[in-house]
Amino acid sequence: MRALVVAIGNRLRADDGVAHRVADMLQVPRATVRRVHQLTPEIAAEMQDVDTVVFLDADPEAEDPALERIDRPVETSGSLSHSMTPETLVTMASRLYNFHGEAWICRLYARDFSPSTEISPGAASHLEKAAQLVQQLLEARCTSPR
Amino acid sequence: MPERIVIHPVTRIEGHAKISIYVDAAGEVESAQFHVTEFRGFEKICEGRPFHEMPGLMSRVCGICPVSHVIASSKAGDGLLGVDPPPAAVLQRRLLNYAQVLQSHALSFFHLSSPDLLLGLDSPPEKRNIFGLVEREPDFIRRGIRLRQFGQRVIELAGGKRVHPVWGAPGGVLHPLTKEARDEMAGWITESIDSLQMALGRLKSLLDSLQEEIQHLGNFPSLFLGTVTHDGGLEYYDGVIRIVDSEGNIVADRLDPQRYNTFIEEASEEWTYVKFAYYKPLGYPGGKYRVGPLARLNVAQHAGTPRADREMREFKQRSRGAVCESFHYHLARLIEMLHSVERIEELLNDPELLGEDVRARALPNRKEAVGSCEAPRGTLFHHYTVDHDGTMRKANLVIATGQNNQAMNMAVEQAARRFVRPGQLSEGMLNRVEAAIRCFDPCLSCSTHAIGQMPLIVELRDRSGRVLERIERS
Repeated sequence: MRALVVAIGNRLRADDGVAHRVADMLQVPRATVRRVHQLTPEIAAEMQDVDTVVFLDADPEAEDPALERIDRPVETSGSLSHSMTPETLVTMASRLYNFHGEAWICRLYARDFSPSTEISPGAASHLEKAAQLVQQLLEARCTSPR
Repeated sequence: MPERIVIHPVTRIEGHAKISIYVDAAGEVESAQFHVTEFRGFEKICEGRPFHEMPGLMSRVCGICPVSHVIASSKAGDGLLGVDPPPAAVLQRRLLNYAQVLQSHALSFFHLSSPDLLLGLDSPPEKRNIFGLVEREPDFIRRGIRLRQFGQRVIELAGGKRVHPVWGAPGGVLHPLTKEARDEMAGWITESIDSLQMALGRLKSLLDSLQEEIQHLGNFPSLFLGTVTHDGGLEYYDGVIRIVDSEGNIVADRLDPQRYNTFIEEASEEWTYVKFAYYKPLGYPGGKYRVGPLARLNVAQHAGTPRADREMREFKQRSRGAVCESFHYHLARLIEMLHSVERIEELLNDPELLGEDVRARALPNRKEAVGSCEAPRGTLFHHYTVDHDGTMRKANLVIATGQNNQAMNMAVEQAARRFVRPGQLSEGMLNRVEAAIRCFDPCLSCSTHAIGQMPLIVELRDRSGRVLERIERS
């Protein structure tokens, strides 16, 4: 089993970089970690060879970190990258690249999006738990045969 | 009653803009303007910083063409140091610029413009996007995605990151290229050429059915400006500036990019944040010119690579003079992508590419320098002035989108006059006006450094600002 972690955000905009920080804390040998500013169609192509994909994203409304399953492909009408979501990317991957694996999203506590390389104390307090959740999921998926 | 139709923001471009279409008392389109409505003022940020920080800082100007800004900035840095970068560094810079042309053009052609071309300009807007292509043209869009991946992967392997690479430096680049990276890049070549030949065949097969758009989405005489080699070939990294007119006559040749401000001047208008560059001897607005793929193919006599040369010969047969139809930016873009892949292959086969010596070092020796290159959208100039200790006093960036600004406004007006029927507004009409802009693939983050959201609101207003008609697309 192989996994892809897509950490979305900008480390120069304070809490917007929390996904990248969580990605830095993961240690799963069979997982590829991609740190991106935004989602683009090329990431769908990278999903063709994996069984599990996990999106990490800063969310101004998230509280405690939790993993949500992206169950079904959604109909899409967005124009492109500025509005591309994990759901639309999963849809694209399933239609273009026959991706039928599991897709998850972990929405991360984020409140401060001002220009800074430091994150807020609130965001920092949630990092470890988020990393544990994702690490456990990936360990379970990457050590068990499909 | 005079009216105004507003398309705001314009969709499927990089950045945030709106279009105003003015309608006269008789109900006919009178004029149109392309407004860029956001401003970041990157040049101001540079002031007071050490000049050697500029390539890293300039990498942040744009998420689509950061490599060109890094290259122009690094070349300006070379000039301030008064050094020539080592051959391996020059080859790396060339390699990444071609990779960027490839990935940026792939985004423009496959992701942004192909929905119009393959699904139709009047197709339902909720389907006229990359997801519509996923449904209808999955192989086509897979190839487009792969081409963009290739360009991005080259940038990542050499520059460390796909977007905003911190890789260039005054005097060269930061790291030598590894053999493993080069070998991985080489593995993409055959597939990429195959995909581009497919796309070229597909686009050419569509042109007959798009004659109305070809003739009326920005078809007018203008000058064309671009960089060429000393023997008049297509060139993206170094060379001289050539300007041709719409008849294909050379108006000016062998111009030194270092002296750009002797032949290019910029005007400004109160209704847009993008400046209007013009050819100085002809004044404003008479000195309007176009840059980018169409201009490069018009100013160059040959490509210098076999497949692109074949395509270029065919391209030039589309007109007795210069090809003036802005719609053919799309075709020119594909030819440039093919050329870029051919050049990437050549560079990967050059043993000097892996040289260990990639940076010449010195203290500042000059207080003023210009770096230029061909960015995906056209000729790019970075002009820096520094203090005795290398602190930036002034930066002036002359961006392709600003150089195309007059032409884009003319294209919008021409498209509006032809396709817009006030009082009977349809989404397809307005999409044609937007499509005129998309031919140029403007990068508004580059030209104003804006961060854009891209829903579409179209308003028909009278001159007092009263909204008469409104169409909204989220």
